[in-house]
Amino acid sequence: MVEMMLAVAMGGFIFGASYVYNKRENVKRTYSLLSNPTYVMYAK
Amino acid sequence: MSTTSNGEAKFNSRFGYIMVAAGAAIGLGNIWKFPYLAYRGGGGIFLITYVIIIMLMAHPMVEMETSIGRFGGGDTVTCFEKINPKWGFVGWIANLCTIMINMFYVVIGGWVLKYAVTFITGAKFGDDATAFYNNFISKPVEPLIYTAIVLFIASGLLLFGITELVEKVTKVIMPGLFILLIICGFYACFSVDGAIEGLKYYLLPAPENFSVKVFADAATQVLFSVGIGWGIFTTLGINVPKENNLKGDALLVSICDTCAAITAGFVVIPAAYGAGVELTAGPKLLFVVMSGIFANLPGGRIIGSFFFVAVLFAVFSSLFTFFEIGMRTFEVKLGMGRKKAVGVVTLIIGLGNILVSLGFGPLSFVKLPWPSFAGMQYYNFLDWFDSFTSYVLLPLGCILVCLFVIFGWGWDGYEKELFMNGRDGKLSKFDKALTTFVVPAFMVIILLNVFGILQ
Repeated sequence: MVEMMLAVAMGGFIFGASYVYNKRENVKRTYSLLSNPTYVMYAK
Repeated sequence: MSTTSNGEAKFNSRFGYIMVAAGAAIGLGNIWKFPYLAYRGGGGIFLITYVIIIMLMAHPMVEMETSIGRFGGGDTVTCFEKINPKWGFVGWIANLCTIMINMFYVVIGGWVLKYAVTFITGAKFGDDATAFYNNFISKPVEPLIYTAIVLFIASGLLLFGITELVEKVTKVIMPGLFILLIICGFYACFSVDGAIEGLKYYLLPAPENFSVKVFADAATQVLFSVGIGWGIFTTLGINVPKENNLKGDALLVSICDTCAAITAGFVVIPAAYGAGVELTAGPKLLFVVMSGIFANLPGGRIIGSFFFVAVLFAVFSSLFTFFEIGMRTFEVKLGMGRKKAVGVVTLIIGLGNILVSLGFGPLSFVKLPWPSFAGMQYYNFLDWFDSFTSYVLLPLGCILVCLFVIFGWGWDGYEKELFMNGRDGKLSKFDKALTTFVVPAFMVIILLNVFGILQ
């Protein structure tokens, strides 16, 4: 049970951190070299 | 990346494209599948067969698929239709193949997540790593929860278009993973009795171990690992700028992928051989062997945590591209809109994930038939999906891409796109021979072997 809760927390952290990171990046609208094609397609 | 005047997104540099392409190419194929196929396929003879095949087949296929994507734009189906309206079905086959691969790839990703959190919480694997593995995958609910986490996080990040952070972390973490693999390889060789013999088994080819099956396994592993025959490079090619030299990029991507696979085998195979793991261990090999190595390694819990978290990030970075192939087709070609496309693709993959996961537990009695001249065989869901995609759809996809370039597009049109009207060189007779004869011949051997016609 502890492991599953940790897995859910890890998933939530990855998603949350990605969201916050992206929101910050979106303000500048600078695309990293490693940007996924989806991201830019979605953003445009 | 940047956007051009017409709003199209493009990779800013050759390096950017290569890193994304390598990110898609380096994943469970190298770290999970290559070691167990090489172990089963005779070690050294499999390795040398794999390297020869990758030299002859990987870069021409990457070049063709990327050229089709760069020229066509849109989605996998539209790329083919834009060049020749009759050939859109090749893109649909690529979509079917990718979705079916995701049906088991995400489940294995869930297992990686389970091992990551098990190491983080104390690495309690018990005395028997194989029993731990078998006990876990045969449970009805627990593996599904881990699979669902991987599925929904990957889909969610794609839905909101927020994959950048994971890709940046992957870029930082992957070199660390490979240094760790090399260290583990040396540790295994010097700490596990018999591992040196395993290293010899892996590196020194024994011709008597060669068979058509070994060739077919090595060839299909090239397709799975590099990611050719299922639309990955067509999708990535859509965003590659005209400035890029596709031939050079294709070679580098192939080299990155090969190095990753060989390194993973360097760790897993000697350790497995020394520990006496049976040659037919299959999908469990990575999990059983690596948890065994880390259990005895000083600081093994921390190193094991890092290893499986790093592999998890590799899984995510691969899934972004894998999912994108279907999602983009559903969104653009079928006009679904982004949210609906993500939802539908996630639902289809999720249903497949449930079957594959339960196939090790409550549905283990269900066996799907596999016709063969050697007699009807019966596989569980994972093995059936793996066989149907790796040994049927991927070779078929490669043959169709070759035929498309020769007859659907024509050498002139393909050469203009690949070499940018002669700026980066021109198509040699050797290139044409690879596309016309070598790649299709390799694929036909795979197809004949998997149905028992050529043993």
